Amino acid sequence: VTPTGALSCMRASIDEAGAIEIAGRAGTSPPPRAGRRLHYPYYRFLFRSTASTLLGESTSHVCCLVDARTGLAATSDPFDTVTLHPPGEDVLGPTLGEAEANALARRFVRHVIHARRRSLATPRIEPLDRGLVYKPFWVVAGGTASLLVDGVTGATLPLRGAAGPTLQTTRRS
Amino acid sequence: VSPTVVTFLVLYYVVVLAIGVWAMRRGAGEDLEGYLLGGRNVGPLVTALTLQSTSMSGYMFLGAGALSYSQGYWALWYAGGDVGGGVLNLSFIGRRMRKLSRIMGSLTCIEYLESRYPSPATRLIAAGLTVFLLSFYVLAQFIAGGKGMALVTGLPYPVALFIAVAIIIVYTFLGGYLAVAYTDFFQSLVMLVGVVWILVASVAHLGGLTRAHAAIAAIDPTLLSVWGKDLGHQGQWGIVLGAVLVFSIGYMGWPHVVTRHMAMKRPATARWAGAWATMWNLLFVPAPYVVGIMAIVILPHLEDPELAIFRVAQTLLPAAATGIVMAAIMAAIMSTADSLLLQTGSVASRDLYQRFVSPRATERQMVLVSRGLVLAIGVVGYVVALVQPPAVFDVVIFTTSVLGSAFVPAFFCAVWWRKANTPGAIASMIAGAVTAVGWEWAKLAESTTLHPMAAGILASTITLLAVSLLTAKARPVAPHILAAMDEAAKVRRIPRRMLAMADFALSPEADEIESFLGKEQR
Repeated sequence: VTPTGALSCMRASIDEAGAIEIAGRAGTSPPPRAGRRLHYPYYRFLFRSTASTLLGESTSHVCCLVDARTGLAATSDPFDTVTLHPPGEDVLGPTLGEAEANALARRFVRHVIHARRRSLATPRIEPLDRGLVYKPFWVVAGGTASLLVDGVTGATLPLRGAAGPTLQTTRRS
Repeated sequence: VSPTVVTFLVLYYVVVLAIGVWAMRRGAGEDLEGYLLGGRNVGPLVTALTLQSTSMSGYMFLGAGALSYSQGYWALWYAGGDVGGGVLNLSFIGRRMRKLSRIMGSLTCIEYLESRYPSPATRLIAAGLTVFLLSFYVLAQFIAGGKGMALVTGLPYPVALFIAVAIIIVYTFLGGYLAVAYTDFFQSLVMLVGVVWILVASVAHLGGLTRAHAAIAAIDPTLLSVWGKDLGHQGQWGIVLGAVLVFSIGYMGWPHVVTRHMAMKRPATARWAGAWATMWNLLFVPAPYVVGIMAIVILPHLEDPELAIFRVAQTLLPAAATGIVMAAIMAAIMSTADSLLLQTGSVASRDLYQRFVSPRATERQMVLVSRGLVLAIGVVGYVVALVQPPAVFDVVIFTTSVLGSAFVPAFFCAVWWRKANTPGAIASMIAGAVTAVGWEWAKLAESTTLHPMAAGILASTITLLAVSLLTAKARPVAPHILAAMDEAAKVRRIPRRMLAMADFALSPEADEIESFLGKEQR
């Protein structure tokens, strides 16, 4: 299901010009002129973790993002959100339920805390907030390859199948 | 006992503690802990040196020195494997394993083995071997800690051993502050400074390597050869092969080392971390072996060769520097021991207790199981280390040989051979472990001139190949596993100029977006 209407989105730090500039630096030839902004879904869970340590009680907040299409989880830094109304055809819908994502997030956060704290003590994990957020990605067409540009971090990855001419048909200016 | 040495040793612990307090206070104000938990890396240099301080144990200061003190340059076969082991490990299974474990949703390496070779028996055998062998390895750290503590403080060995074991256990029970990345980084720098200092001092004391070699030749020229004392290993290529394999591919069988491949996020970080780790290894790894060789001349009548490096430090360095070297040794022991105990406790509680005994176990019950096991290891380890302490070198080589023999073919074929199936992997783990233990037990290395590690790897590899092929029809590899392996083997076609900027962490999103765009076009 493709969501429509107001969406909670991560605040983008890369606009279209920035994405094109990044693609240019990556060496697409001829230089790209336009990109398409897509919105990708994640479940965001904020937990408070409290653990007893050698140096006293330690409390921290852990934000976990679960990819709402693949179920992959990762901890993340805090981020700002904005409400946007992108066209429905530029939004990828979630294929994972929130309950399933919640279980994946809890399992992953426990694993991360255990691994990084290097302690036998089990930290207490309490949920503070959760919701569906969308992350902007730019798909920029180049002559020889198309590039996926993370709209928040500016990280890039060439797209495997979508070569330049293919992307021409999907891009919007 | 020099008060200066003890003062510097205490000072070292004060600095480590201060780093932890600083990080926690900063954490309260700026949420540093949230930062460390937030999926951020602390940078390739800190990452690399943190891993090195955990990998390098008391073996490097006791076992390595003892081996070269008694066998001369033969010991460098072990060092050679150690220097290149990490890179080999990373190159052969690193990237594919990271991808495959992600596709299969495995968070720990035992989960990963069970996902790739689906059967409760896979987990039972892998977890059982891990708990048993890592406990053994911890024993070596206890002995090293006890000997070091006795030498530094002048206390009787039983008391020093008790203090060392107690410190390690308490640290493991109550540690867990996230600044451990920074304290490990500091510890690895201390280890490097300590060992290089003592190396330079010992070579300088003997008037350079040429003079040192002449002095060794006067004692026993065979110690200068690569075949060991009295040329005892001359032409024994099976033994040489095993010596090189122990710390090169042997590391591939270490669950807590292999887990790191699954945790790597950005290949760029991994590449730089690999470069830093290799540089650190090049400086650090050969040094204790060479100091052991120099000790042949400096202290020719040592009763306990395992104390060679301690004694050389005491003899040649000023008291303050000796304190730093002692601190380096204790750093190596502590950072490895607590990691091993934590790993052992986790595997016992999650992979054995929760999986096979009490699937509905609460977190509290699992912590009790972990703590109970750690305490039991402490008590049993103390008794064994007191009554009949084996040599640190023997324990470390035995453990690494058995772990490598049991797990290397299973981990390797998991990503490289589509026909590797569950019966093959289970039989391989059993055959590798039994062969390596049996070889050691029956002392077959001497009569066959084949190292237990080489024999174990050979047995587990042949078993995996034979059993997988024989049972291929009855127990074929499931299609979803084959599909996951194919996906893990795919190399994204990336134009050369774009490669440096590519962030492979975006691969899952990229695949989904490509699929989305593909459907739109159709």
